[in-house]
Amino acid sequence: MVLLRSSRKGFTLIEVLVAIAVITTISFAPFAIIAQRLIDNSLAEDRVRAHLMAQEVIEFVHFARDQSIIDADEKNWFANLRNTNASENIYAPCVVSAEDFIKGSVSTYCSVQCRSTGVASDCTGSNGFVSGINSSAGTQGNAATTCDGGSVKADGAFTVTLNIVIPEADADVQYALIDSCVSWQGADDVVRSITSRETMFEWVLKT
Amino acid sequence: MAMWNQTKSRGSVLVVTILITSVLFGIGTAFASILEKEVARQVYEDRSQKAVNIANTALECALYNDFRRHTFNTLVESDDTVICGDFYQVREIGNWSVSYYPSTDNGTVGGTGTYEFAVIASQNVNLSGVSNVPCAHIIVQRRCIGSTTGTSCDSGVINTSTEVRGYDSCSSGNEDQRDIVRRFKVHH
Repeated sequence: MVLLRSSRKGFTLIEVLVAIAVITTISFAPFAIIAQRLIDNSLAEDRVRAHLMAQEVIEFVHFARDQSIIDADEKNWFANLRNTNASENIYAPCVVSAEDFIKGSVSTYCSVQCRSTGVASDCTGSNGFVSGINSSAGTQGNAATTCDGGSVKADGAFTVTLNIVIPEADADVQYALIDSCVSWQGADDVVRSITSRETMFEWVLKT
Repeated sequence: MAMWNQTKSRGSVLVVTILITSVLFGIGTAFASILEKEVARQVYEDRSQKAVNIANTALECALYNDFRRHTFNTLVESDDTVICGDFYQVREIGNWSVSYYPSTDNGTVGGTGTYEFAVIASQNVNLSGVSNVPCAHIIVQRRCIGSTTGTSCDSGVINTSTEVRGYDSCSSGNEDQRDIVRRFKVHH
């Protein structure tokens, strides 16, 4: 009987240790997977949201152009973009801030750059660009590449940067390169960004 | 007898432990699988966005060539070629396809001209850095309903439909390789 009690004590301890070890080992893997997947899922959600924002900004540019066609007599929206008079340039996306269009904790930056071949005056005009528009000339053949507007908020908020590169007035093909970039700091503290790029052509007939 | 009972009790602990851990493992795996699908959906969103962007661009380019350059202005092949700017390569797909309706065809006279071309983004436009670039396949169909004189739609009404299919992934110079398609169609 004494032998029996001794055996039972030893077995119980081993069982407990084995049980703890087994539970720890087996449950560690799925919990680790779940933890990683939760982070991945959060990043994926952010990315999808960023894509929607980027598309929203591009749609905003389309809206600004189309609204200018509907409302204004001036059908030449590209020339309107070059217009230096803010009061006459109400449909320029950098004047009507995209921040008014996209609600929420989003910082927006906007610039219109001129894809100049040396005739910078075609784009800057005599008075320079209106407020909010970057008058610096873009590099020939390249869009503006600054994505985050200079800073990314660390609190998880999204930063939207809209860059529009327009051609010189006498270019053969009148098209604008639109970069809509969204940057953010993810759950893993890594700064990420996505960019959607479209090209808009000046296809509307002038009146 | 007492010894047999105690032995049975010890075995149950292990069995229960294995059962619990198995259930935990199963739940964890199922949950991870669900989250895996969410991540896959994000990749799909990335590629879908590229297809939408190139489709929009190609549509703009087609309208530009139609309205401003009159590339598709007649029912015969125009001397003009489609241009979409420095960032996009344009490849014509076949020649103009023109068919004329006989005057007895349901009372309709006129003709239809079809023009197909592909707009392929340059690497400069490809922001993801992968080797494949987005591209779009455009079909412009111009239809003259009314009377035609030779190749012009003199007293007829011209209906134009522009159909664009944007693909997220194409081999350079070839629009045949595609995975995700986004399609727009406009009439005017």
